[in-house]
Amino acid sequence: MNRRTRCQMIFGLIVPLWGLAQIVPLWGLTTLPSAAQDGPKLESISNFYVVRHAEKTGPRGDVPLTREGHWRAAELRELLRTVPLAAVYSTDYLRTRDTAAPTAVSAGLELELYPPEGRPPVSEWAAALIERHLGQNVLISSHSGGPQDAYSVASIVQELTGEPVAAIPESDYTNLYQVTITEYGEGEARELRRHRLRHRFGPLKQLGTVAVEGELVHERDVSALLAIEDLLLVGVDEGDAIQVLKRVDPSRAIISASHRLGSGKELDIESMARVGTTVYALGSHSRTRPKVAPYDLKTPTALLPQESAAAAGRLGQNRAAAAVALSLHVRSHVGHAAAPKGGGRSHPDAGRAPDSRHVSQHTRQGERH
Amino acid sequence: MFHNIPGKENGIDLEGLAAVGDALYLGFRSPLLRSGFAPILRLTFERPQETELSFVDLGGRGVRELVAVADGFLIVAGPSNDAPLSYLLYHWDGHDMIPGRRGDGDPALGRVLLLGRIPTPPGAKAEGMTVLATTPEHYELLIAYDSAAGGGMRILQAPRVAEDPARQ
Repeated sequence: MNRRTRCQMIFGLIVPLWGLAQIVPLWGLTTLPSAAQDGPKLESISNFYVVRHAEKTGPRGDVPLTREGHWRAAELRELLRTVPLAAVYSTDYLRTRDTAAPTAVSAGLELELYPPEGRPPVSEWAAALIERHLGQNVLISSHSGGPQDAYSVASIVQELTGEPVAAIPESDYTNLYQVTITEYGEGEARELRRHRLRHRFGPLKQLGTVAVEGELVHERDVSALLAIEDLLLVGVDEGDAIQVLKRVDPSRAIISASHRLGSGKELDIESMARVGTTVYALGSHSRTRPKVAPYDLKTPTALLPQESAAAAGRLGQNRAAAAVALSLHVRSHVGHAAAPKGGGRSHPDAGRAPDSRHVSQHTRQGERH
Repeated sequence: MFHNIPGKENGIDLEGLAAVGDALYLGFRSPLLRSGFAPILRLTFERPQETELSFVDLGGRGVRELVAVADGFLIVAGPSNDAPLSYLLYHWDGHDMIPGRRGDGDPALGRVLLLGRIPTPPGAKAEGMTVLATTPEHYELLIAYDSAAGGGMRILQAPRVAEDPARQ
């Protein structure tokens, strides 16, 4: 679209009321997981987290972790902090013990050393682990190498899953496997269902920062971001404004406009998504949370044109429909395209004064994009 | 009623919103199912009443941001309460992750890959994310933080998901 063309951005508003009303009938926590009658009980889902030890100080011998290695071990502890672990296994080396130790301490567990006496085949040990830890979460600290290297990460994951696993090269310390095992079926005809996740852990690389020029309202409450070409929409979880920034270079963004979505009530914008030329903003949760004023469709504000207000009122009786049906059209006076490929639709009010904010509000039910 | 109270009081918190085609996906910060699985609700504009719930294993974290990408979603996973936990970036393939929930032999069992930890200034919360650019190897992401001046915006690079060779 021509940069000189003035075009509107359309903000949709997902009113908290609707979805919640919809969720409630579904939200029987006791019935949800067992939705598949023949499926597993959630209680029987086991997770085995299998990790190679972190960076070590030398190529051979029982060498300790490097500074980075200790840092990575702490990272592992943070990663698994929310996982209620039942056991932590480690081989009897400094590097594997020190990799698992922070996590074990945090979980209040002692390290259990393996392989067991007599060094049975990995397949036997893995089968015993599955039996022992049904429905539990377990961390295993191990070594690099391929499936043929007994008690390596690859060999353990392969035996737990029954699927081939690629070797972990000597130089790679970032992998963490999660093997999820579910028991289902009955009696002796028990089968195991398995899947595997491969994790990389460590911080994401930072390429730069973006400084905001101008006054970002509620600058310490930013909770939603959406980039559209060189525009940046910023939502905050205070008030109800979406601020439009223009990225003038990779490290700078200038405030171009601010649009209020509602009646000035608290909306708490948590997330935004774009469908064509429409941007949907997700308001925050609950109806009765004191700081959240729900956007009440039944008492539309003076901002609404009368016919829309009537429509919104009708729709308000059916909250689910109303959520999708109500969208606020806000015209941006940023002087260039915010529309996706193919061009946005032009707004009937597009020629009006650029400082008008809520130019119209209309209902749209079941409209596709 | 759950929906009358926020998650911190055993209600619900929705913090992620993504659009794919004619469907919207809403990610739950809380509650989590059995402390591990975060619900994600899918609905279409066409039939918003017909919702579908998927569960994603975020290792005990909740959805703090949800962004659609070509082959699934990026999820910012963070504490579902106010615990001082780190924020992690996951790629989710869009499929339910509760094994066996849809019956035996379900080929579409979901998967997440942890792409890395989101560096977060002390006291700040990674709450906003958008994709600035996508290359064959990387996503270039812009992250905004709650409780940081000016949103504390940082550009981060995350690896794109390569199919796990072990799955082939």
